[in-house]
Amino acid sequence: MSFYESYIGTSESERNEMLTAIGMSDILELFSEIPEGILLKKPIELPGPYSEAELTRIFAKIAKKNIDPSTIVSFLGGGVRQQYVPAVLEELMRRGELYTAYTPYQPEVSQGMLQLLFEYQSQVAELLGMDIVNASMYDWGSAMGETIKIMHRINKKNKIIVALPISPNRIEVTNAYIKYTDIKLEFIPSKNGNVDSEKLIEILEIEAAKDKKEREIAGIYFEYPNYYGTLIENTEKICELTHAFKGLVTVGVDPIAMAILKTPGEFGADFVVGEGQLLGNPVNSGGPLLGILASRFERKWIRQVPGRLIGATTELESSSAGYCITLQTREQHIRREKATSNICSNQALTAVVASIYLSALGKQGVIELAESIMNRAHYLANELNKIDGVTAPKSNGFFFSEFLAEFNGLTHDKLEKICIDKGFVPGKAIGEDGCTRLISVSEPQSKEDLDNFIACIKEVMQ
Amino acid sequence: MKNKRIQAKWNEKLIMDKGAPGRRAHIPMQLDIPSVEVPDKYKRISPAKLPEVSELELVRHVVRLSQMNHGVDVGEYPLGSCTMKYNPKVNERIARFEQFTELHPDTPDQFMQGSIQVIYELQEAIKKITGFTGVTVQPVAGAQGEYVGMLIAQAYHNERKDNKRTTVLVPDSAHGTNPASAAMAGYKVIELPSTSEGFVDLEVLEAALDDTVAAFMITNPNTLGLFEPNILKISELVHKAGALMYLDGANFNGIIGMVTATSMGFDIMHLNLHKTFSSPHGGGGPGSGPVGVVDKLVKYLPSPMAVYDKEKDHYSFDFDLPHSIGRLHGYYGNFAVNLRSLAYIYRNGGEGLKKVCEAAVLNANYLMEKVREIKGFTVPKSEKVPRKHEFIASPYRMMQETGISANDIAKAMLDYGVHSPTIYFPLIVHEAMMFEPTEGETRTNLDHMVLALKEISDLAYEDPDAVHRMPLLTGSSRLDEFSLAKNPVLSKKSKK
Repeated sequence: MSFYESYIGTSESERNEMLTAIGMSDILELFSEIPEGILLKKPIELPGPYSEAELTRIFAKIAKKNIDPSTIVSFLGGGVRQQYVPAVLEELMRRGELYTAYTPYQPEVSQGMLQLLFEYQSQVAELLGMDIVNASMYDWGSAMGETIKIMHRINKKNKIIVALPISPNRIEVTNAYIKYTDIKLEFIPSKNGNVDSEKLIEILEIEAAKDKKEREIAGIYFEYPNYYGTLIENTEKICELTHAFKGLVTVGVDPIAMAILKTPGEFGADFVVGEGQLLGNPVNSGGPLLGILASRFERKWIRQVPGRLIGATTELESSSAGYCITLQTREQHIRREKATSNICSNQALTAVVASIYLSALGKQGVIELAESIMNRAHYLANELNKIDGVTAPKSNGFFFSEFLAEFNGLTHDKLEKICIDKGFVPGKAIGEDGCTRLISVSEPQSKEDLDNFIACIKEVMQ
Repeated sequence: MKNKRIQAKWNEKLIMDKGAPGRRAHIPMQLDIPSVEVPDKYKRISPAKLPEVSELELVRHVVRLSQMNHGVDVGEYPLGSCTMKYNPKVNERIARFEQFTELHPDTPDQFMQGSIQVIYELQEAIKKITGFTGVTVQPVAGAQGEYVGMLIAQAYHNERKDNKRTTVLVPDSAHGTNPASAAMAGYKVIELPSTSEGFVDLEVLEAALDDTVAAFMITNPNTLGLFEPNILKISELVHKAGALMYLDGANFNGIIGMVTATSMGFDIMHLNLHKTFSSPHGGGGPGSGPVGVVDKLVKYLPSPMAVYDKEKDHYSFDFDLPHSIGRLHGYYGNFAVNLRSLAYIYRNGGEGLKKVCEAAVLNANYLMEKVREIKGFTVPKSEKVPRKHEFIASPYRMMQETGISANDIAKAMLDYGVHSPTIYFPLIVHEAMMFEPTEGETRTNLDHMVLALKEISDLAYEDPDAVHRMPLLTGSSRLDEFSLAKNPVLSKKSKK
């Protein structure tokens, strides 16, 4: 059956009439310049066509091969985590006017999308203590890669100091972004499950003491909270020291944590990147995500920011407010090979989700959410730590929503198997020796979920 | 007036300027567990000034804003090269299945068989559609796909120690992302002028090809909507020089189901699932930019790849790819976008994809013949040749005779509830207006667009100032973009 006709605007008889109207008798006349030898004679062999009901059934069956989310409690995090999506957000995101739109290149008929993106930029800037946020990058990793390139372009020096711990995937993405530049990443190993801030400070002091001409560091990058969930010490001093030799500071963040933690803006960072999935976007088997890219306001830097920027202005003929894409001369469709980045399609809709989510939480809600997540993590770590053979957190320093836990005498395989049988994913394996795992909590988890997991671990450790 | 359509204009304030202290929308769940205090040295100094609105206030805000936004669901959207086709609703339903949406990507393989199967089946479907032997669906946008393609070209030539290949050739009609992606991958970009008819100039190409060329990136059908008649000859020349053929699949809707990329001689291509394969554009994204490659390049594809063990009926990710260019995304790409496109492919089947192509091409040619007849318009380059999914009209004559430009016409169209075509691109046509109606539009809609353009043309010749003032029936009238660029206000903070 020709079920695909649902998506074609014209009927078969209309198509024949239209063909006649343009002076043709066979549809293949429209493809006459395709060399005869390569024109496909038969339709490509693919499943389908299917009716809508069949299609729904097929995909429902595939979906059921994933674990039913109501039967498992997952402690996976490491950059993305399960979200509780408020009903109001879910309903609003069904507006076809928004999700079926293209990039708002005609602002007169795109004020809705433009204003929502401006509200995204404004609210995230406020949350991070920054001035400027672009209208989205693909994910945290691509935002990190692009920002390292920005620091390099501004300072024209090759070395970027990168303080571990950082997700290995994110480092891999960054490496792909800088592969054919002359940027060199110098990694500082983590110490006791946290950033080795003493080592970092030592490196910065040596650089600051160098003669201007001998300096090589364009900037530094660290995460806050980092991949092991802990917070770096001495952020103010690190920023000051870096600025002393005109270096730049980029910080990778969990945006929800910023509701209660001293923001990079407050401790003096220049750029902030992070994962905006945490702002109300379903975890969606890993994508779409939302790369946050923020900066302090420096006229010269704005020109180095990749991607789209939405600005506020007025109508030409009145004082009514209006919004449009601005500073497009940085972008690929105008500057071509000299553009700051090749990015064109971005993650606009996930940024709209983030914007509506932040508005829904509001000033008080975002603090309550951050606190409730932090409380869950600390409760869980405390209780796990009471169990013989478990060390939680296995790191130095204050943590937010994630922590390392060591399960003495177990292997990853064994722990995973037992926990999964009981309905838990016990976080993510870190390292291959022993059994250290990154445990992350999330908003949907109830006290019962946490207590059941604690009981499960007690059983496992006996 | 009877052919015009009025968009809502709500004068909606910024959400930060609405509400009042203490109003609440979403209130997070609090557990009965001890509270933790953030140590002073880590404490936020002043709270984020986020909105304080009620839930209903928020609903009205977003609904009103949505009414001030044009989308495919609202009206005609003939934006050339963007393929603004209908986004089937069944795909949205499937994308909401919570086994997909609530799944963390690090979940052990055995519990995410469904999601890995989707990724695997999409890789397989795209192989069949394009003819390639290897496909990755990890790149999250067309531009990222291009970058992956260029990284693969680098890896291929480098492994062969063919290190002299430092340039990439692109035609002057190429999308801006092509040169930008090649440059990001460390290549020098050389633009080749097209023939007066808008095709690749074989002599120019031949002269440019030598042992320093890594790849030739082209879009076929090209940005004029023309199928490159010499494509086989072009591939032969490029291959003879030792370079790779790269296909920008942005215009694949014009040939899908009619011809494969490999039969035209391409070695690498990217597709835009948000164009040809119906996933929504989302106001700019998220998209998805899968990349296909020929046999000799498969080993360079990004890591990981989804694989299927038929005997064990088990799907998994293969990370053991020593020649891979690495990963470009934190996880497995824009999964939910890929899911929608797989549903679209299966709904259509091979037969349906071919019909999609035929109907899209017919709509474009029908519209072109009508626009060609309107006073002030021409359809330049290769006048007698049928277009594929899109065509370029030029109101250059109207501009000379009345002062009304492509931009003015684009703005005036908005008052008819029609989004403007892509304008001033490609750069090789004066006052270019690139129309791509897609297969989704009815004949009635195509005729409405023609009527709109006719009325605008008539008005341009009668009273050009009236056209200059349009649009008047939209969420906003023309904006002061100039002052904004001079003094950019990019967040509420910087708005005085």
